[in-house]
Amino acid sequence: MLKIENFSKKYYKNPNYSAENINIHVKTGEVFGLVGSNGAGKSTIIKSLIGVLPFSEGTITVNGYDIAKEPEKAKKFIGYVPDDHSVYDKLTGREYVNYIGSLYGATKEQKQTALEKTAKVFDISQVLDIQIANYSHGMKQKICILGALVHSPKLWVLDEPMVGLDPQTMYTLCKYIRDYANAGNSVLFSSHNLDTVKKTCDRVAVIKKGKLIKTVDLKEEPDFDLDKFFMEVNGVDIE
Amino acid sequence: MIDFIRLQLKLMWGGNKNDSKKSVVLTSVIGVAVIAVVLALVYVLARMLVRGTSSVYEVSLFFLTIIECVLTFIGISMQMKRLYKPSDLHITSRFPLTAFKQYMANLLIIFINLEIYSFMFVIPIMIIIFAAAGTVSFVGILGIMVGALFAGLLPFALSMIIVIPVMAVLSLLENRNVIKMLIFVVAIIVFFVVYNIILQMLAEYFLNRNPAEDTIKFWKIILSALDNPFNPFVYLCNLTLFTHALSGLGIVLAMFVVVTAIGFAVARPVYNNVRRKLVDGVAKYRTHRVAVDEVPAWRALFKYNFKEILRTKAYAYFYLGIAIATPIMVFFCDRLVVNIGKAQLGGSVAFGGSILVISAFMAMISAFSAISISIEGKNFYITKLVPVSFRRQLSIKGALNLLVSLGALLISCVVLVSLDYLSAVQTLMVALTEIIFALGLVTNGLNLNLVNPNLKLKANGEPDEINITLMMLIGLVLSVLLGALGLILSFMLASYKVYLILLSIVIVYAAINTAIFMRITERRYAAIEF
Repeated sequence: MLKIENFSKKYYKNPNYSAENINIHVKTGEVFGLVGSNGAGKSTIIKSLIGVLPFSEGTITVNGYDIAKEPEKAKKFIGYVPDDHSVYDKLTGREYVNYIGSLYGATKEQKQTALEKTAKVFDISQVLDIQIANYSHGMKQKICILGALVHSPKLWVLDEPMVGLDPQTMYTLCKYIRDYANAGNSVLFSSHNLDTVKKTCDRVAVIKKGKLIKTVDLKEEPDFDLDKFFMEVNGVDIE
Repeated sequence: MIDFIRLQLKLMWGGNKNDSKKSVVLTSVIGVAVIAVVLALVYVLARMLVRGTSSVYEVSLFFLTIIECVLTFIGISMQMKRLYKPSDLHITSRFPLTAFKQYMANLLIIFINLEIYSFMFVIPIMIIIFAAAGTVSFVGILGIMVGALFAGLLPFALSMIIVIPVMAVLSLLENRNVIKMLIFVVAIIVFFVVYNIILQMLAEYFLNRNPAEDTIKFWKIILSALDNPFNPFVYLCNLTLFTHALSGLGIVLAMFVVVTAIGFAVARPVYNNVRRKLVDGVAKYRTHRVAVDEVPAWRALFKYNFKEILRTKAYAYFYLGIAIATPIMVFFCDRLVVNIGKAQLGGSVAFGGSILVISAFMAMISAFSAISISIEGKNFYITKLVPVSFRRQLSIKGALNLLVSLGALLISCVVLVSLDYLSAVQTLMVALTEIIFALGLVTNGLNLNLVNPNLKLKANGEPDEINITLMMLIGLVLSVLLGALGLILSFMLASYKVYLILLSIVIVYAAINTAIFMRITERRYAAIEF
């Protein structure tokens, strides 16, 4: 579903790589986690793979479409939840989902599913007709999730999705991510929360200073101590 | 309390460190230009009135009354902003100051500000009036200083009372955007009608070297209406001009004390009530249910962008308000230009004059295209996320802007032709020239925003206006050039040649900007950092 090959990215006027020689393959039906400390390069990888950041080295393909060469085709398969929950504040939740759905070519049934079933799962139905400007932090996150899922994307990408969510929504989201992948889609998300990653992901990549240090298959290595490895990589002695 | 006042004054007058140098320079230049124009207008008007046998006292009273009304308006808006709709209540409510002390401190801050404004307005305007009348003297300037010192008192006291009904009306109008828009349009039209009346009088004055008789009569009525003991600003004028200075001072002070006491008694309970509601966070959200539809991306973009404009208050009022008011303003301005032009230069000026006027309004409406990208703010990433090319997204924003311009243009043309200001052929050529000119302006605005995207929105969620200002300047300069060329060529060439030349110019302008737009959009878009 997602292939990131030899991907490197430098920001304008910055001589150092923010992401360097990254290779990640996310398969259909898989939940893939990206972990790393602040500034490790997780968001750079995510923003590049969804087509928001330009890059000059490597290739990223989504469902066989190169995000750099055929962005419009590739983007149709992606649903994205940003880390800062930025949404169109002046629209109501329903208007936002309806609008984003139209841009992705979602059918009326798909939109209604998002606004009824998905909204119910995330307990946001009661505020859908209120302007988003009046939403709380968590509600904005939920409306972002609805907007990302309205066109039933094959690849669901979430950047730090658990930040600011209450425990029950975190649980619901983890379960929903798992179910979404089990339904034949792929999910990639970044997180600081190692417990969430361990419980939800099939595989996880540890990133440090823009480099992929290790990819761990948690199904094949269920006893792998992700916490210990993560701390060691980041120079923290946990003994 | 002193620290609180000092902090608030610093926040108000200390300038914004985040403003770019470019923005500061441009704002300063525009500010100086506006002040120069206003003072020049005051000078000419004062000179005309004095020549039209009005006394310096009457002229001074007229301008002082206007200044006091403006100061009262500023006072009301400051009372609302600082006391009744404070944006920083979540911070100030944590300060170790009681609500009463904060109330008093805010009143003091408003008072200090009004005093600053009164010095800023009264001194230059009164000196200009004295200069126009040729009566500048040391005693006169001393009087102006005294007048400036006391000019802030009554507006402060009046604003304390007037703010309450104003808030009640605004609260009734909350979420009634159509009514608010209509009020705004009426206000713009009234402003333009008054502006045009004054402009026409000044034009006649310049052409005849003396004010017309009707003008003299008109001003006599206004000035004598103002010169009566029920005008509360008469006493300030007496004080400023040292005519019955002592009684003037006494009455100004007495009015200040009485009105402030009434204001305090009336406003304090209202303030307490409003503050309690704000602190408690009692909020009632309006729900607005829309039907889910299945529309193509371009239609969704069109609808969304229209909603975005409609729900961005300042943007909607100025943009759509100007567009709605344009035909009426075109009617007045065109009448002025064409009538005066015809009288002095003959009927051939009608086409050039109309091009000048309509182009200026097209420039004002189209200028809003220069914030098409900026208005996205932190949501700019969504434009990159969705599977629709940015050129298409931006073209739809441009098309929406063009559609608004064309609506205003169409009605303006109907007005001009139905009132016989222009012939049918002339109207057709004006419409054609202006459609293409508007296309050039809109693409120029989009290009400007691509080069200077500035996605940082202000605290109220509105984009920075520097691009609009810049685009308005470009548009107005082009309008003047286009109109002037039309006027000059009317005397040298046959009509059809004038049409063709102006049409060719706007075609070249639109073609260049469209070509730049097609060429730079995707490249510049990719380079926009956010």
